[in-house]
Amino acid sequence: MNTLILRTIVPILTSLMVIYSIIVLLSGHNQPGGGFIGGLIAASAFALYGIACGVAPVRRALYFHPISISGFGMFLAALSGFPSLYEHVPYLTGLWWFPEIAKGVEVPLSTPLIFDIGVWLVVVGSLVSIALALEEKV
Amino acid sequence: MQTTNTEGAMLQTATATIDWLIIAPVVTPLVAAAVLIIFRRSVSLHPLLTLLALGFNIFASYLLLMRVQAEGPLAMTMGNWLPPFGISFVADLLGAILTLTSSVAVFCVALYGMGDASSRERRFGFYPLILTLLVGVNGSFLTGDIFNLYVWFEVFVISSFGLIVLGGTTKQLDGAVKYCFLTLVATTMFLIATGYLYGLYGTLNMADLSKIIGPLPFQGPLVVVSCLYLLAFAMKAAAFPLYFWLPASYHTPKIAVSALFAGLLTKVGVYALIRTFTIVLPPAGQSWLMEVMFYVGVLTMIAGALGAVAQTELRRLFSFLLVASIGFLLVGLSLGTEAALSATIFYMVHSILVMCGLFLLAGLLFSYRGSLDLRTLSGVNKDIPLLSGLFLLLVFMASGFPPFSGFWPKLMLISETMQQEAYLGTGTIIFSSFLSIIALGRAYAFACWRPAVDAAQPLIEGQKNSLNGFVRLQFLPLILLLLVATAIGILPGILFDFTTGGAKGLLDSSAYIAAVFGGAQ
Repeated sequence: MNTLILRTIVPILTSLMVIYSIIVLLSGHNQPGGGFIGGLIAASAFALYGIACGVAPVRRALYFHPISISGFGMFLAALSGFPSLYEHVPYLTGLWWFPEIAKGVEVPLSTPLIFDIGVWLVVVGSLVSIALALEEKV
Repeated sequence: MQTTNTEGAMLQTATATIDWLIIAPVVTPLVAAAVLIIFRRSVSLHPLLTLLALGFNIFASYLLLMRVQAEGPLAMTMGNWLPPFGISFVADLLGAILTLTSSVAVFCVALYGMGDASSRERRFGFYPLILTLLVGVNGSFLTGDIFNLYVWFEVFVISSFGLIVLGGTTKQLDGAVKYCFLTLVATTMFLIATGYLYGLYGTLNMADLSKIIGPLPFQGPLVVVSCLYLLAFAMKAAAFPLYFWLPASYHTPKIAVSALFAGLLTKVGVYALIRTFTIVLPPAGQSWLMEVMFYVGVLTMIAGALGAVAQTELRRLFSFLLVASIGFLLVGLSLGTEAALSATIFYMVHSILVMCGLFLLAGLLFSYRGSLDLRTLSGVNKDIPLLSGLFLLLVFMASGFPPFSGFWPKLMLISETMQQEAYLGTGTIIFSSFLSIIALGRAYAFACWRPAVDAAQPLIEGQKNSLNGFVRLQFLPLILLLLVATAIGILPGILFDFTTGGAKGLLDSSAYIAAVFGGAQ
């Protein structure tokens, strides 16, 4: 798929899709979205980039091997349950904290968010590795 | 930190740190697997980290077992939600014993893998996959939610798919297709049954289901659900007439993988049967369905033992013995009395260790002889006396000779079948043990006592030396397994205490229910 139109538009499209996937990931707790769907969007962005510009640039851009990324996601998701140990509540209990970054601006952070980021990474890593392997073969 | 304002839906009691033991057997291998996947290129790191994690796992499972023995079932509901809504983990004696046993078995296989898995196979994820397999298996043993049980089934099934094709040869892919197809059918049926169950009773928490279904009569949709569960789990456990996939696929993967599958995977199917027909669906456990299961068990034992006698390939022979042992477990479960269930749990522990041992032995024989065909395998006694001795020990164990671990559960179940006047069961157990002795004795005599049939077959001296280093190390896991099994055989009282407690807990689910709902009341 080495067409000029696609190659011109894809870098912009890919960055937009990755940004959108992060928005979907972050809004996931209270609105539709979350790690899984966000991960799918990001993975399709990388797959699209691979189709237009070849697999090697995607691998270079990701820096880490996709499987390692998904391993890190799994690690993060499993670890997100451990702050509960400190609070004497069962594993994977949702804990929140609200640091004030500026006057009156609170950022709600939580362990479910860490879990979701883990899911996002697992989905991105595994789907990108499958997609890139398929694109390499073609 | 503060919790969100959903206090009404949440538990208010604090969770003691020691209660975290219940998730340790699942989370430890999960975290270890994740770390190994991150560092997938550093394959020299893999065995060490795996063994470290598994060692910790054995320790945690042991502590969990001790705690459950001392204080009764232990429960934790994830995310602090109230029990029927949150996913509960419940460790009763049955789950805790099996968790410990499977952790020991996986530890031995990982140790064996140090010499057996090539660095290519390690890069393809041999160690992460056996860890995630253990995650799935331990999760199945500890979960208290039937849909969650399905999820853990998927976890270990997916890991086993990865393991079974690890070498990527045509023969392996052929075995993998049979295995995958049957497994997918079984898990789909499991999922359908679970969907029905949720539609009928509106809950999937095992303790909650036990409370609701316990007083109901065994009729209507409950029969359908029970039959579906029986079919799905019996297929997974390789019971008659759906056992053919097992001998057709278990001899194809790497030997360490075969050992892992033989030790653990079918046992999870049997475990699921035990759990469903005692705790989850108590009326089904007292119904005519148990008679069906009894005959299924009898036929499985006969089919497995006859198949074993007919085989000439060692791993296929062991696979059929595995099928026969599943029949034994089904007969035990179908009788449903305390003694029979206790014998079943005892035999499960024995079978995990011994089946794993038999396959590891096959691996050692293969690494020395390059063949597992009984027509050519020979002269082991003269060349490798240690291996011959271990083989003999395993023959005694697997066929249930008196001082070894297989004997006690067989004795218990035989006396129980006689008390229940299920003489068909008595006869079949004796008959199938007899056939197992013939099959194993013949294999032993051919492989060990017969002088080497082929002059070219004994290893060339140079090859022998190059093998020696890792082969000696590879004896270690087998010896470890046999030590544990022998200790159980010589001191059966220790395990017997646990299995009797486990059987009691299965027949009277009140402690199980109280453990789950205790925090909420």
